[in-house]
Amino acid sequence: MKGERRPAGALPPPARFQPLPLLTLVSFVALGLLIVYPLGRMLVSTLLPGGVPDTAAVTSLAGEPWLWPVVRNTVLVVGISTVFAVAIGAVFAWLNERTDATLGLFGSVLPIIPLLLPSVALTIGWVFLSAPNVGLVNVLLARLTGPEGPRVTIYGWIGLLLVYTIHGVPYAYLVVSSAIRNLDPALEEASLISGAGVLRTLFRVSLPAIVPALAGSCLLVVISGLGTYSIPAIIATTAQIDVLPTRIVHLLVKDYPPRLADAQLLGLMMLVVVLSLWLLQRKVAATGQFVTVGGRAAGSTPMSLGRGRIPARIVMWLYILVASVLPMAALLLVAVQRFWSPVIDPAKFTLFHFEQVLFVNRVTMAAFQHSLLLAGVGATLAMTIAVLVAIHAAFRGGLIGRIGDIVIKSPATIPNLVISLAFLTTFSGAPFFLSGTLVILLLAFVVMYIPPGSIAANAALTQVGADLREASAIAGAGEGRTIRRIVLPIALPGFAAGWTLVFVHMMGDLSASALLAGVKTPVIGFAILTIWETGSFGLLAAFSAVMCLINAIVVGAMLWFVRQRSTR
Amino acid sequence: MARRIEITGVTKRFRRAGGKTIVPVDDISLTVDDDELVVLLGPSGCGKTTLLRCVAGLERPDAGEIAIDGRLVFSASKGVFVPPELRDLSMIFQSYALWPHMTVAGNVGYPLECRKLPQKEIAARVARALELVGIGGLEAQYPGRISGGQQQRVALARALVANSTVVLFDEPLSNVDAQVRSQLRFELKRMQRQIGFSGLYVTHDQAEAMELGHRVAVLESGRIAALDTPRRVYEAPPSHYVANFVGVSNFIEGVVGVADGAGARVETALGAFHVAAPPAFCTPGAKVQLVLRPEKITLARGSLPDAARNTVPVVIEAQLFSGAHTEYVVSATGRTFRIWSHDEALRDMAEGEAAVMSIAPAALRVIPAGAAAP
Repeated sequence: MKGERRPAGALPPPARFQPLPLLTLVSFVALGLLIVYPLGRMLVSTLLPGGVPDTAAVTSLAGEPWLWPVVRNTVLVVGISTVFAVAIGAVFAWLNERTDATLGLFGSVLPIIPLLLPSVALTIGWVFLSAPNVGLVNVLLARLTGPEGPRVTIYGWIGLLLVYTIHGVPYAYLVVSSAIRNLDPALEEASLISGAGVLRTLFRVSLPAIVPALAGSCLLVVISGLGTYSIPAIIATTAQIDVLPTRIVHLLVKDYPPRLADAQLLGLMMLVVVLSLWLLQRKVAATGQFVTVGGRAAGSTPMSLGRGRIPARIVMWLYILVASVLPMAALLLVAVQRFWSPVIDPAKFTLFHFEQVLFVNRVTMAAFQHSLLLAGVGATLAMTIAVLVAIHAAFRGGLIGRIGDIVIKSPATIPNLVISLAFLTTFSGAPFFLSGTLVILLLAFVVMYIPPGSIAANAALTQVGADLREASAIAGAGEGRTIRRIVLPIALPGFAAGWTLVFVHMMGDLSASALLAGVKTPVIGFAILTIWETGSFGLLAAFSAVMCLINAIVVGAMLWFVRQRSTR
Repeated sequence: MARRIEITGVTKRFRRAGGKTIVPVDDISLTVDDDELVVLLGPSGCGKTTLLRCVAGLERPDAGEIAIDGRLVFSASKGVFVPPELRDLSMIFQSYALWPHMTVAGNVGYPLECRKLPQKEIAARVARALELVGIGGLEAQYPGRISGGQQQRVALARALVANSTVVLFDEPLSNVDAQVRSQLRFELKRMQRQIGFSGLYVTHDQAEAMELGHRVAVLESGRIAALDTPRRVYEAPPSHYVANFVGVSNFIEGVVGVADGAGARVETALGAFHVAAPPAFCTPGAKVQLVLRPEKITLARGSLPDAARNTVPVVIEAQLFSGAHTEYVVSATGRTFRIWSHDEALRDMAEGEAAVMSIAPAALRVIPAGAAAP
């Protein structure tokens, strides 16, 4: 072989046209415009209407008799439920990551629950469980304690806090469990060896060591709590507990003429709260006593809880029951009855409502079509942008990469309702006239739900080590080929997971749907609100159940795909 | 002889997070000739991998020029930078960097695919390359399903399949166990002879460097501390750093007394030592260090024979049996020496026993005093 140098196959010259940088540039600009422009315009039109500072709107809002109760209620609901959610999420995360009470698969199931059961379906399920008189829990209580016994109701503070807490736990769990996973187990082992018990270790070592993660998860739960319209729309309105999200929608949709200025001021208030919490969280994280990430968690033996193991497991199973199984069962039970009744008679079960939802009712049929279209296109669009930005940040780095990464994640720090408010302000009138179109919904969906997609895209890309890309370049492949043949195939499962996250969020959205969808463009969230107001509970149950089913199919397909890919 | 790689005055700087600048490659010039394997040897952080990555095009140097096969691929002054995919070279990564989603055949065939060869020829050349590295028939396997040694061979086949004239090796053998490593080392040497390619080979393992390299470049914080054949680098290290890094050395500080054509006499705290072939800097009065390789020292029982040259009385401190030889740690006037011996007669020497060590004038090396390179 010696001497047979440079046979056929010298490297071909590089291609002239490179579509990737162009696409990336377009994504950057589009994303920046979609995020910065509406919010900026809302801020300007709120604070400087007509170009000059105007305090008239502020004065008139401050004079409203409902303002103080609304603020107080919101702070109470979001604040208390956040404390509960983070406490539950943190303890569950620790139990699963570090102790022998771990449920194994539970660790991966818990964060997926909200994907299968969007908060709107969860709320409706709990309404069916514990509405006064007809709620299934009350039926059970009546059987057990007689007609004069105790009853529960979802339409009150406890009900509201319960659903808000269930809604927040997965967020806290995700953040805290990854922090604990990265925490050097030797810290805890050292505490155990020093003679501290398991509980003392948890409260003196494990949790203090991850204070930044706890602060971060608090922030996340607060943001998502403030921006969620589904829970208060269903529960708080009936319970007559006035909170910011319902009040904002009320001002825009129920009042005539719509009181845009007041709504924007309320939105601004939310932003100020989030911003100050964010600053607080940064301060906590920056104190620097918490840099204990060892990354050697693999291979550590779980801590033994002794007699506490069984109760700990029971508590976690109970939680899963309360957070997913019970509401789902209630949804199905109401869906198969002709009329929502406390008497459960399997002989009378019927598919009437499913038939209505899928084949008869025009609003629900159109809503499914529109939502599927929007979520499909929206998730694809969002993931394309997220992947392009992630690839740029990972491969080129630099200032643009960092800015892109910050911009794409920034919507996560803005309550969803504020984003849809900004879109309403900006795009519904001149010069866009997108009011009541699918386009404005699509744009709002992309902005609101791109952050989880971006996080998934980044995580997937880190699986493609730099050496794999470098080896491809050395082999003679240009950037395009490297991305096509090496990066995409390896990162595809992660991208698919991101797509699913975004898709499911878009399917279950209520925040944008409440403000931006119109009668001509009903989407799932819009339809749910409409049906809720007409009081057709069977229809509502069947509709929610079908939505959950679609989500379950999509999530299942994604999990199957990921597993297929990773068995090599 | 044709120059395959020509590195001229290459410098690479990095800015650390704290704003501090480090210079892992500091004005290095080096050439690799036809069919020559040059080993870059040094401890971690000496800049050897950065230099390799500069040649590959994975890093962009701040100054200097690099030419491959006579083609200028980087020049700071002329603003030339050819990206790695157009440099037409091969590289073996420390992690192997095999693509987990492609079969062995897919991995090995990839460079040919990039060169737009027809499928049939790709398959034939992949099969030939796999045969060559001794894993013929593994085409359909995925990298995750084969052993570490086999993965190493796949990486090798991928590097050789395109017949690039230049192959870069980034510590390719550091992840396989000792037995496989020596086997692969031997095969690499054989293949290099058989196929003929030029290469730069980065390693921190001096035994590997000695066995594989036609020449060895010992790097010290971004600069070349020694560049010569393995034998010359070992036997005549130019500095304390090289003597200390390549092999094991004992040092004695001294001052040159007499120096002439017949040799030099170096005065030390342990007495006078005669050096057979002193280097040019051994002028009377020069401060120097003597380098005593542990296998060149002879250890004997008993006390000092009067007339013996280069002989020092010592006390046995410890005896460490390592299989191939026995290491004796001895002390003389407060300093310790390491001596390797095969002498069966020394076996029952006890700690604290007196002995003498001696070294032939021809086996004694002299380097300039001070730890820094000249």
